[in-house]
Amino acid sequence: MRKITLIAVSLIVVGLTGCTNLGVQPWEKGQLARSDMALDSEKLDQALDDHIYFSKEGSSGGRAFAGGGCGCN
Amino acid sequence: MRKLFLFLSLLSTGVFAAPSLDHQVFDSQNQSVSLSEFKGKVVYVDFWASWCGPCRKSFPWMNAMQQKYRDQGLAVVAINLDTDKALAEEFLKQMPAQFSVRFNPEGDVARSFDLLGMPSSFVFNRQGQLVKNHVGFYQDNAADYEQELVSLLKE
Repeated sequence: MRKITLIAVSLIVVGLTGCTNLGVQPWEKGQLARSDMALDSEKLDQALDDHIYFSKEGSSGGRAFAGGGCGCN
Repeated sequence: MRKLFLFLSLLSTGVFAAPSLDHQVFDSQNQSVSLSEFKGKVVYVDFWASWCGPCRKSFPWMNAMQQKYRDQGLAVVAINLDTDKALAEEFLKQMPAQFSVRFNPEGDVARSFDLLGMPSSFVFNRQGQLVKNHVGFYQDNAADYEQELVSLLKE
């Protein structure tokens, strides 16, 4: 009986505290803040990617919202 | 049994810890020191890192505050949260600090203070009670920050 209570208590505590440390904390974003981690850090690389993408899609722009790649610019 | 309880209490420390001056940090000589050394003063605790842009903006302001209100009993304590201390030292070379700088590479103090962003600042009154906290540093609000300090110094 004692053993079961013990196990139950530890399971509850572990369950309650288990998710307190999930995710990246604000002070742990040093690596993310590096300039080479930015989505547009390599301008030339991005220009080439865009060129290929837009050629295939028959559009220009349309990486985000406006323009869905209908070819009508 | 006792070991289990110790382990469980270790797990739950993160939940109950709160902002206070009873925390251990490292000084520039890598010695463990307590924030309570500043008790009795109005303490402005700031958390910063070398990679954080707004932190860079807050440094000249903190320098100015420390200089202006040192005699009235203000202590500005900036706690660095870089995991690599060399980065912090490089930052300090570019941005010399005329206030106390402490280090918490593990980030456990930051966790206890439950930071929501960088930089974050916490203002303690002379009794060591937390009075105010700010997330981020905005140049436009600098006058308000200063006003808070002034009114606490007068208490």
